[in-house]
Amino acid sequence: MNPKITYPIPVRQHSFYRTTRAIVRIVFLTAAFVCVLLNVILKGKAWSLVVLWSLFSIWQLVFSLKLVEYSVFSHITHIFIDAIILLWLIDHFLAPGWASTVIPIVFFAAMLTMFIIYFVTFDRKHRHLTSMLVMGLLNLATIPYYTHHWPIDNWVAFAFQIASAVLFLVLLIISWKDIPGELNARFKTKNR
Amino acid sequence: MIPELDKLKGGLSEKEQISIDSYFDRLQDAIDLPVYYRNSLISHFTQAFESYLDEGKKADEIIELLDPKHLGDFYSRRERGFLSLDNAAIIYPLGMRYGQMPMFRVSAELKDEVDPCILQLALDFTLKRFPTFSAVVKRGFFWHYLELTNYVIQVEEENDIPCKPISVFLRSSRSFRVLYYKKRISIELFHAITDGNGALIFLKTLIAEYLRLNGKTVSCTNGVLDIDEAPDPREFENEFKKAEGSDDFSTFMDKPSAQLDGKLANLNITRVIHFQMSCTQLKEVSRRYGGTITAYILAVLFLAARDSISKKNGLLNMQVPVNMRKFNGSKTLRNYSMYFNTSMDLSEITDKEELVPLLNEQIRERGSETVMTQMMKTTGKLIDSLAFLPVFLKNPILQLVYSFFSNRIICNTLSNLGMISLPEEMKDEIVKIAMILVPGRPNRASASLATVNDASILTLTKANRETVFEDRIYEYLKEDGLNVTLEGSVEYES
Repeated sequence: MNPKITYPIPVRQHSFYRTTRAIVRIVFLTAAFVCVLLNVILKGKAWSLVVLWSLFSIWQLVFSLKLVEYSVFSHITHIFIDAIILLWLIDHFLAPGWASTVIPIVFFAAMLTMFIIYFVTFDRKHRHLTSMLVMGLLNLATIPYYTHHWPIDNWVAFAFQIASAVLFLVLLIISWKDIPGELNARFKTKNR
Repeated sequence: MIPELDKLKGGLSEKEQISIDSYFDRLQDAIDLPVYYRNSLISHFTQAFESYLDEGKKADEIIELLDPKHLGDFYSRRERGFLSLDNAAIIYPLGMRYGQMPMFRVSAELKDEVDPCILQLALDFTLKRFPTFSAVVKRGFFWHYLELTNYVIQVEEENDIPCKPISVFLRSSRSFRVLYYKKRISIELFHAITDGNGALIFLKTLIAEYLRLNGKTVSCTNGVLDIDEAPDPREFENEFKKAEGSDDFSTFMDKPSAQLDGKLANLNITRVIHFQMSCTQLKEVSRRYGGTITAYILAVLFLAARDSISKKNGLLNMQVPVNMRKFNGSKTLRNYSMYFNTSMDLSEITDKEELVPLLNEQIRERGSETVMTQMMKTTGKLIDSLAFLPVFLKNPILQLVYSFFSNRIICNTLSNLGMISLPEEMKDEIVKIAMILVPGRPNRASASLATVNDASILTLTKANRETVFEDRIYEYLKEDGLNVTLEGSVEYES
């Protein structure tokens, strides 16, 4: 059976990404297993959580890109959120005492980055609404946590938190018209 | 200021130059898009203008053909629109995995070589009539949904394996692609947007517009929509919500089906094969066996599958989609198909004389309006019961359910688009139409049948490298005296 070829012959593409992904998956799973095992055997603080979260974040951000609704803006949001969780884990399980200052700075950096991208791509601003809302609300949610758990005399942290909140407020004011529609679409329960 | 405009006007009379300036002013007024898309859309017009001028057309003729009124207000709209996914579509984004996206293709071969510039403009004009096609899938907290966009979609030259997953990155984010290759125009769609029949209407309308831009007149009949008409709200309907039936729980579940031998390839498609036959001949042969064309082709598939499976016992299921529009004349352009399984035990698959009447009976019973409507109602109930489960929980659950019950219970799918009607003026322009379905894992093949004029194309899409299945199909068709012409792709390498 010899059909007449009526389709173009595709240029053979290197399956570099696919191969790398397969190798990395094995390496990551092995590393995760070994770390948890060592942590259980050696006891002490749950430092393996730091490793697990790092591996998970790298996998999510590099090797398992979202299939629906991927954008630079949402990717950056993910990077910042993953980094903040990682910083908190390091502070909690490995080297305590510095996250109270560093995390607000990272939050501020995240809000500032979003602020800049938001204005550079203003004609497509609605695309970024959800990521922006998530990041802003997370930032707001951590303010009481900071003031309650850490000494209030950490004014640097507090100032950065407030600055982030102000940036968020500005973004909210600019896009307040789009927010109800966005929330309605995102939180609709009835599919029919 | 459009940079290409000076080049375009070179050598034209002053009157023509003024007309062109005024034309492009009107064009720019009709576009209010982000800069990238705006420039891209305008360049489609300048390129087409240039191409027409090279052909020797007069500026006024071109201006009339490319009148910006055909863009409507689609590219100047700022408001956003959202649509829920229909009941058949909601599983598709949830069931997606890396490198696997439920895609399908409908393509038409024209009499003449395709002009990409004109095809691009035809797409720009046609898209406004099909707003749901330019929608992108977004992830909500409880469900995925569609966000209607008005971004410009570029036609592409076909140079890759059919139905490759659509890139979801950044600007190219979209839900379908339009491809051209020699005389063929293809559209490949993410199944969440529409089904085969919706895609066919889009393809016919696109080709009708392409022909209009080539100076031919095509009437808006037989599934060709008038692109200058406002979209009919009935075309966006989620028809599943209208399903009526008893409260009996109709089930999708079945026993796992035997699968064709051969290792499943890494690629979603390893080869495409078209078996082209005369519809008249095919009808005669089917009638000889006492069945419809669908029953006859299914019998051939069952026999070929039996020969490609080393097991001698076990259930073999072939899935048949049913176009629900035929029951109520719905105008929806979204998914509106249900499925049923035709089943045989491998040991009972004997010959076509016995199989065709049996399959005919199964099609009549299992594909009846009552059964299909009941299944639609069950789908609705299932969806309602999951309404308050967040997507991140639905995702793994439905992926598991999907992998266990959707494709494992079938060996193959046969989707018959039937006799595709065309407006009289298009009949001479379209040589054949075919549909490619990506086999869902772990199926090794899927099949579709489409007939236009007298050309019936049975398309087999493979996902393994064994060739027994297609070889046997060919032999079974030939032994009934059918004159089969074979076309297809090379075997794709991973």
